[in-house]
Amino acid sequence: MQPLNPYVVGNVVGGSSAFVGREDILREVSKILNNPQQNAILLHGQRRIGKTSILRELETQLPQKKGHYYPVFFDLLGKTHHPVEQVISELANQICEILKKAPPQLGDDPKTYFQKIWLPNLLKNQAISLVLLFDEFDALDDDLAKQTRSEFFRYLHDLLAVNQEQLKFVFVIGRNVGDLTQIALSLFKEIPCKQISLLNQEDTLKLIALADVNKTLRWSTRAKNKVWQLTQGHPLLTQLVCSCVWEHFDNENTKKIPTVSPKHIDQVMPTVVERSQGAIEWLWGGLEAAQKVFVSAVAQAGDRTVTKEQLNNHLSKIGLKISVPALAEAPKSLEDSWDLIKEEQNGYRFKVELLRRLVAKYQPLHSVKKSLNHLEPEANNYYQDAFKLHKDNKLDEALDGLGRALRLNPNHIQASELQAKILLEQGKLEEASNKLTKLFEDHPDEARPLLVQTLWTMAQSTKHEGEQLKFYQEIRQFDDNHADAKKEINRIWRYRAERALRDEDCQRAITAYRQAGLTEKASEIQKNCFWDKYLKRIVQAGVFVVVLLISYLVGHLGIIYIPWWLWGSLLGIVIAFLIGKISLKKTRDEF
Amino acid sequence: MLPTDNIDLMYWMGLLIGLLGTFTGILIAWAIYRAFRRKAQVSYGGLVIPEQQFAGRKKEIIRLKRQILTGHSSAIVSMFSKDRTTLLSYLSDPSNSKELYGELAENFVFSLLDINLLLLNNCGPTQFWERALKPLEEKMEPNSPLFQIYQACQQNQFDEYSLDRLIVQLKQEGWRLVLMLDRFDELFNSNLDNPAFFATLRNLASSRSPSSLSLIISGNILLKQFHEQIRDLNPNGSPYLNFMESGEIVLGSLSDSEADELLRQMFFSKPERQFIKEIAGLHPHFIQLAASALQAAKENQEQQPLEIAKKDFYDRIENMLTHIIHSWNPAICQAIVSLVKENQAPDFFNDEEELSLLEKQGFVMKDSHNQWQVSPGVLVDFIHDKTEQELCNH
Repeated sequence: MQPLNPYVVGNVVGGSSAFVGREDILREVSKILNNPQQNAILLHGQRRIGKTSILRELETQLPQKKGHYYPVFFDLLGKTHHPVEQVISELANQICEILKKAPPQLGDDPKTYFQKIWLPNLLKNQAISLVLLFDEFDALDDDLAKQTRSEFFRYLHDLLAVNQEQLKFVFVIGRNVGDLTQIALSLFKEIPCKQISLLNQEDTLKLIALADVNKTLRWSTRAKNKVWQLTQGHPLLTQLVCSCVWEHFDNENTKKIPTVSPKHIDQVMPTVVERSQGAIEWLWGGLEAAQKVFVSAVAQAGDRTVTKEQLNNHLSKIGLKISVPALAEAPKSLEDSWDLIKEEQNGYRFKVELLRRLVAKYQPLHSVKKSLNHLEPEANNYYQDAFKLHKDNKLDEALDGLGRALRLNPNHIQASELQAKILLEQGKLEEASNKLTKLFEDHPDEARPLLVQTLWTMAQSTKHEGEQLKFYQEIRQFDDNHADAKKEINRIWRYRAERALRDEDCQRAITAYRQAGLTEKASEIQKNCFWDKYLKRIVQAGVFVVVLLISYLVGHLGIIYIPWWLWGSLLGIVIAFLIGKISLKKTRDEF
Repeated sequence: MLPTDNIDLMYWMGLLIGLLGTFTGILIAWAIYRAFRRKAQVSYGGLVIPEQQFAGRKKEIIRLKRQILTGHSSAIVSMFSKDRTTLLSYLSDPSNSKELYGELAENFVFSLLDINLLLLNNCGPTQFWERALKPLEEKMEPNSPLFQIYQACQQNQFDEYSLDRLIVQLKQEGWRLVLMLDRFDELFNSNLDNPAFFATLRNLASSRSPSSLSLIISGNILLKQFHEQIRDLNPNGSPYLNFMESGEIVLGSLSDSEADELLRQMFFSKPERQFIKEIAGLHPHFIQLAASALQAAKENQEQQPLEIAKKDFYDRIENMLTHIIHSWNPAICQAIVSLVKENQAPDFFNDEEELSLLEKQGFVMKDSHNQWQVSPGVLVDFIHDKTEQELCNH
């Protein structure tokens, strides 16, 4: 018979050999079962932490305990939109199945009959305790099924009082109690709660050793500790790491039982990370916006405690400060309710190293920016209203709303963008540009398109060439690949170069051609200008020589020769000037 | 005594015969080796897999086999429906059972359903379960407890409660139903697209270990995308299929060395292997098509086999590429077109997750500068031949 992988990844493990630990939870449930004054408990914990496994384990263990317990597992997932009567009928059927009785006839009014007659009679006639195990209870807490939800919760409230000694309830939810709606909260008001958290070290080591038990692997102590170090008792991740190690050895087809060392765990980590991608989705889906930003920042900081100062540095990279109220509150909820972060030595760190690696890989800080808009729900409401007002062309009112939104949450990117867009539509170009430039500092990708559009409009609306150039150059600063701005900049510089040539300002022309990117032309002009410059020097030298000669002649030859010398010198100057002119003209014509 | 000359002659003859023998031995060994390789079967993890059908998919088959053996569920994701269907058929084929599942094969009942066909027949949940349980029904002993529970299921129109009893009974009797649902992503907006149906599937397949219902679904979307599509059905409860997330298997591209090994097994020379990888990228489906195009060109003794093969390959997969590109969302389509035509993704595009999925499927890869590049040459040519509007506005 081929050896089988003893690790269970994904399926429920309650009632099987892969279920370990959870004594604390089972003890709490026992307390309720043994207490005639209490008959319900609420178990809550993050998704994939093993809640259903505990219910299935109770289903297996309770019949073996003293007290004639009959557990009834009842999954509420998929029943959100069922009429209460149908849910009650299904529950009654299931109870009868467990008690090996014929399915009941609940008549025309199953709700009343079940609660007032059938269930009390059932319990009165038999010395048993029914334990109703409600899985996925929070699935019912759906706003789209308000009517059914209210009716069912009220009904359950009454059911809780039917028989406290013989009718017990275990409710399981996959989120924090505080996140339930008011009506659900009122049901659980007087019910004790117990959080389902990570496994302790002893139980985690037992879980790892499942392959030792079925004699398919031998785990060295160091390897076990390495798994513990990575998963900190997260049941799903522990099973996943161990399962990947098991498969690693199965591929090798070794004849003797292989021994697992820490290096084997390192070898399978890429597979573990790839297969855990789904695990991060459920975690991520349940977090608030501020929690996502916070978790991502701590994950990015690495496998160590991150001080508040370091965290601030990370957050400031996306334009955030921890002083934002929702962010300041995030660590507490992440520690208390989500079992994700722990506070230590004036800083924070992840409880589960593997989860940190997954967040750092799949939810890096730069990709959680979209969460920033939801940091303050009220601010987001103002934004939504302003968005509608903008659509109805009520621009001033929309601006008012956006102002309020940004006062509550200065990190609301979409509000900042819409504000600038409206200013642009109103023709307040400079104001829009200022706001967008500020937004660009923290959120370049979001601000860039509108900022470029604003600067373009500003450039088009001025006739001043220098200002146009300034705007186009700014556009290039924000968007290096903006082809139109590049074209316009080149056009302006070329125009400037031509003008400089007309003015016979060779140096300015060369500089302008260089700015226009026409370096070859600039070099050519430079060459021609060299001769131009040289002729100028000759002219200057000629003038100097003429002046010298005139002075000499005036002194030694007598006044009669002066006109001839003068004529000769002037002719020289004119020739020099003409040569210079021809050379410049030639250069200009070439363009 | 023999004369010295004769001794020398015999010595040299003996040596020659010895050498000839060695050479013949090597030839025979080589011929046997070639003959075995031509059988085109590869053993992996003790399992012999038909290489032609499942080129480069050995690891995935082994993983699926393990999932079934341990009562886990899986999702197979591939853009080529043929890949998925062939794989499901192979895993459920009774003639492969013994080899795949050993002694446990006798306890497994396979049921393979094509969701598309069910929807064509307008099936609701009752008809679905009737068809899904048909192979099991055929194996039941009349009047056995299992058969009686099955009859109760029929009477109760296969409600969750009755089905759960059936699965419990299966477990007690040591059976396992392996329910394979091909083209699962076509369930949207059908009679089966409702919370109760999905919740029942989840509950039956996941709530016990090892489960007596191993669910293997296949489609062209990731489980994450599936859950996003049906989020409205279940905004607060556990995502219906999250229990199979770690068993999700994307039939994606191979690594460079795997692709090389695959082509080496097909007896292509190094330059030919390089050529095939360049035009086809690293997805085995494309590799096989390109390889067969080159093989045909060589068999036809074309003067320029590579050119001919390239054109033939392009013609063969042009429609397929159109279909694939049209299945992408417009943003990702524009990003890919921009990558090909402008050599960079547009500024607005920063969806690394989408690109990573395309990387897994073998359409893009990161170059040595960590920049995205479109990988199969045929896709680059195809995009160059079309306008962005033709490709992305559909």
